[in-house]
Amino acid sequence: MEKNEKPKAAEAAREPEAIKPGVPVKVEGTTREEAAARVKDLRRRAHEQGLTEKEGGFIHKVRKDFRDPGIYVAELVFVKR
Amino acid sequence: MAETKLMGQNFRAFVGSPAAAVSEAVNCQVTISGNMEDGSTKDSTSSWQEEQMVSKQWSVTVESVDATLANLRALITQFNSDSKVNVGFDQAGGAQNRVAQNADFARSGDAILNDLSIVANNRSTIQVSCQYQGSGELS
Repeated sequence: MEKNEKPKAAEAAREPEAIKPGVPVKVEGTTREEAAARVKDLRRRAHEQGLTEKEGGFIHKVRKDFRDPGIYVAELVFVKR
Repeated sequence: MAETKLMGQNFRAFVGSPAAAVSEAVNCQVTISGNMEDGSTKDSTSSWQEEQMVSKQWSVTVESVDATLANLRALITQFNSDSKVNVGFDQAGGAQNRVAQNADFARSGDAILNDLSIVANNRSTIQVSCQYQGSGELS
């Protein structure tokens, strides 16, 4: 029984959560292209939910210091159409 | 067919973290330049200089008519604190041209507000001009 439950839980974890209007959603990527692909995917999902992007979605690099290779981060806010 | 030209209104500077398009911006300018030095030595047999890049710099200047009390206070506080902010540029579209399009040329980096001018002429809109000088890589 337990064996059957585990894959289900893993599947549920992979299922993306519904995007809430007005709540900022953060996406990250190790490269600008990876972050851009995630932003694109998020916009597609938001569009399917009937939401539209309010502002932002700009990808910027975040580094702790000059030695840190950094990650690319974008924050998006969606609103109802 | 010729590729569509990007218009000025669709090229925007984004400031802050999370980066947002500068509100009520009317102009923006991105400058990326390199400092060269003559690298020729006695081994160089010709009389031509052999220039090499020794350092690079970038800056973003934005002119805005968003002269609200809150905005002016925020800018002056930012100038006084010498703090680094995230500054970048990207193609913009969507509602009010404020949504970043993640264009191939989009870049960002840490920058310091090093020049702030507020032009307030009688019976005209106040124009605020800010120059962000890059501190570190533009990537």
